[in-house]
Amino acid sequence: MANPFLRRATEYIRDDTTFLEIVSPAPLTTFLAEHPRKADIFDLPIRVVGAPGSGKTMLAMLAEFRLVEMILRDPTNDTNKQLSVALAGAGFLDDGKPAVAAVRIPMESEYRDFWELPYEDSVKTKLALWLVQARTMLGLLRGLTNGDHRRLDEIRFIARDASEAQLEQIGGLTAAGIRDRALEVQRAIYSIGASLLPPDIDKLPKAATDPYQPFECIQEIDIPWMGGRLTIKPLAILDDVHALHPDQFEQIFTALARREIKFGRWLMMRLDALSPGAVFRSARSVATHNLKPDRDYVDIFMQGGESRDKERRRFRDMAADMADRYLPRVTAFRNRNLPPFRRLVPDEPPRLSEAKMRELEALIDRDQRRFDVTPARRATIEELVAGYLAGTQSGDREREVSLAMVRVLMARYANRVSDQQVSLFEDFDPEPRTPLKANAAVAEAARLHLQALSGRALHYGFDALCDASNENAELFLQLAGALVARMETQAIRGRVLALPANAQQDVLRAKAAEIMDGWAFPFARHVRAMVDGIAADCREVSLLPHARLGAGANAVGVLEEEMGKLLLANDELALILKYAVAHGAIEVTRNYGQGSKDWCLIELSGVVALSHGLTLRRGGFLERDTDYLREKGA
Amino acid sequence: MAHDHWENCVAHFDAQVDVFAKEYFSQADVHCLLVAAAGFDPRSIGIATLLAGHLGDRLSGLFVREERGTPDAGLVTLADQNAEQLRALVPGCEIAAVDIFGNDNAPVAGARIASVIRDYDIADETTDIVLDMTALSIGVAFPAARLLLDHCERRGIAFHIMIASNPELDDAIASEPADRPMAVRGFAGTDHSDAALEISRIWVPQLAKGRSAALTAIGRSIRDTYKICPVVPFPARDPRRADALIAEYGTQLIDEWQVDPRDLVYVSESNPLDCYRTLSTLTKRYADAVDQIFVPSIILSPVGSRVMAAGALMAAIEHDLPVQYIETVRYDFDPAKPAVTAAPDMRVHLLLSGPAYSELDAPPAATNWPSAPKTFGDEPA
Repeated sequence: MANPFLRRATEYIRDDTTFLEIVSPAPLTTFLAEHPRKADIFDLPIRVVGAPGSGKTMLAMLAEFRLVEMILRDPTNDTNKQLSVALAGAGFLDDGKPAVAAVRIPMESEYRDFWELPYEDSVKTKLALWLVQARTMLGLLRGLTNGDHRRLDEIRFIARDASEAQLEQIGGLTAAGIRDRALEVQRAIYSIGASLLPPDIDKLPKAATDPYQPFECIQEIDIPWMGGRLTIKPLAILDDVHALHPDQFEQIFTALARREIKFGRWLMMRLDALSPGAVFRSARSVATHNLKPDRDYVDIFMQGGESRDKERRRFRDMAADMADRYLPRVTAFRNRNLPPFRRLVPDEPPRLSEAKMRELEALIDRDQRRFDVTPARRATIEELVAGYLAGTQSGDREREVSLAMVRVLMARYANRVSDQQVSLFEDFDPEPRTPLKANAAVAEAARLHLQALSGRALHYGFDALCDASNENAELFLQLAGALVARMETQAIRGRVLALPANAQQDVLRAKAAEIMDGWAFPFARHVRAMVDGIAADCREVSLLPHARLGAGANAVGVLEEEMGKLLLANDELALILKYAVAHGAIEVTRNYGQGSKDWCLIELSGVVALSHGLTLRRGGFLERDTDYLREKGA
Repeated sequence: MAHDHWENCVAHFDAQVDVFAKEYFSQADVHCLLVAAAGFDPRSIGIATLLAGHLGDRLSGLFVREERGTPDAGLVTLADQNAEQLRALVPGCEIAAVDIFGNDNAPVAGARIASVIRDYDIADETTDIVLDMTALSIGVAFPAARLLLDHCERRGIAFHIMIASNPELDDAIASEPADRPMAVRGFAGTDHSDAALEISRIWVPQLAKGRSAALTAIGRSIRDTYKICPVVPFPARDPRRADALIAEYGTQLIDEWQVDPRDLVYVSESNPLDCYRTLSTLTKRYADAVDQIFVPSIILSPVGSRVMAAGALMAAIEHDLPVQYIETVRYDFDPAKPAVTAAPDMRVHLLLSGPAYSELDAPPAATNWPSAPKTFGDEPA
């Protein structure tokens, strides 16, 4: 039976009703309603930038007029009510009525193909731009007449002031005239783009070369709405504009940024469309001739736009909302009273069996002898650990954690007194020069060590699941989908659905490995080799008894200066890193100051950390250089 | 141009191909242009060797070297060796480098191969053009086939497709897909923008080992499909190949695409006409079924075996079907693997146009067209 979590892409959902049942309105609220430039999002060009799977297409589909109308026409439905509130918050509704007529135009590779035509750049840009506008007008009219809620002759377009001279070129202001002209333009330009051998420039059809600028002419649309008339603002959402050639994008973007245009226009794009340098600077520096962000256009970043903690918290809410919508659609759960998804992946810590606990205690005793720690010193360390655990908020304060923390602190003690001279006549138990401290980092290191020493689960619970998803909705659904598949088995066997920590970890680790095996993007083999190499080194260092990096490492740091040179060079490693970032294998933190040096951190993604049993906590890194990356990615 | 004669298309398989080549290409008045790949694939030289043996200096060659960014050094060496052998087999041949990706890594193979073929001067005495699809990628082979077929039909000369197929070898060649699915140049399909009825799309992906990521990306680019009908090879040299593919694509078939098991399309692994006839029947029946209700649209994605792809090519040309694919960034191939040499190649020959069909077609093939253009540049778009 199909698992809706594993049906990753909204593109496969075949009907609008199903789409509305599962779509989460959270992105509308998060990225639009709370955006500081919310007032301008229908006036200025907007670039919405995100990684694959971050929900750009879902956002664009939800905003389309066709769906907005469907939501508003059935206000009794609870899902629709929630979506209405989110749409209103983002400015798509005004007083419970539509304020915007949006249409999503997928910018398929067909538009990029125009750049291969043997004409001047300006001609090629014009053809692509006019095709976009013609398709926008056709899509808009299709959306407005969808479901037979209004006839074509009931729709009137309102021109921008001083655009009278251009009205003839767009077919006038009647819907029929605009549709006919748009069809004529679309047919003419399509025939050029689709041809194997394009016509000579002097043989281009007139319909394709005559001026056509509906975005510049049209300001608003007047439509019948529930017995009255309503004036709404048109909005073109150009999805996947990263498919355009960079020069082509530049020219089209510049054309769309003209201030005369009153037609709303959003450009949704993926991170990996940008140069390695731009990707590493979180996309803020896409070259734009003479255009300034916030003045001429506004950027909305679906990742990396704000602090990581805030992003993580926000994503957890969004993910919980999504999971709760998907869960009742699992066939095996239909006759059950389902709790929220979060409660099915509890944070309850795992407990070691008595036999494993005895083994662990014996190991700690052996290590005590190995580190030359006196019983009195061990007792002091145990007191330190007990004091920390008594005061911590963490739910995982099991005895094995305490034992493993003692082991870490004993190893640290041995390190810190190793340069002190041993006395021949009395017990060697000096005070270390730097006092020992039990804290959250030591506790996290202890949990990581327990995973290696006793097979105790490290990754479990809803928060860990979200953190492993790197704020990527599609990845979250894949990981959650694997857990749901295990819950389905539980349901069929008549057992409780909630999965214990060990089961969660088993499922997540297997799924993470499967996701990595399935990586199929440019340079995927190199990316896989590189992250596997980094992960192995991080794990080795993380498992050192004294846990010098606290919670452990899941990153390598390269000096900023060195990384800067690499990104400017025409080097394959730069491309490998770019695709690794864009496809969620690594994350990059620039200008991370530590030890009076400036570092660029290459952090392994949550999936890699899951697969290799590394901590999901950020900050621990190994100091390396670009040669190391090159060697690992070979 | 209608291709009714494809219902009775001349086809030869395996040993019959050798017999046909010997009897047909040995004739002194046959002058042949071979268009083929000059890549790393060990099958690249098979057809050229066969034809050169019978045609001698009556064979000319246009060999396409597909350039993909930074390929594996071992594969470059193999490609160089193959190119040398092709030069020796067909003296005076042209080896044209075709960039598969533009400077922004966008796939541009279709436009580039069209330009290469347009600029190639086909000798006046040429009576036959053979397209060897064995080692050409879809993004190159399909546009090339369309252009060459069009040229042959205009000039009334024969157009052949030849393939040395080896599914086991195909499985041994791993490919890394690019990230931009797109329509093959010249195969964007009919423009339905003015359709009064809603468009109802059926996507027909050809399942192939190790291509699930590519097909998933292609499927996502199509959107709003009414049905998805995956094509699997059956009958096949390995009778369990279809089962293995269904197992490999379990997640896609069940969770993502939600394929009804009755929608699987079985086509022969060795006979392209079976694929062509099945897809043609599907197209006609679907059009009849949704007549006056929806605008039917069938989208093909022949990413696997070239034999099945040749059938899909014929169906796409015949019914103007769109072909959606994803380019390959790089290949991984170890010629020392046992699978590579284990099974022999299956050879296929198809005759798609030419004087042989003049009695079947009405009007007959225009061998004496007074204004038949001699080069591609003279032809209307």
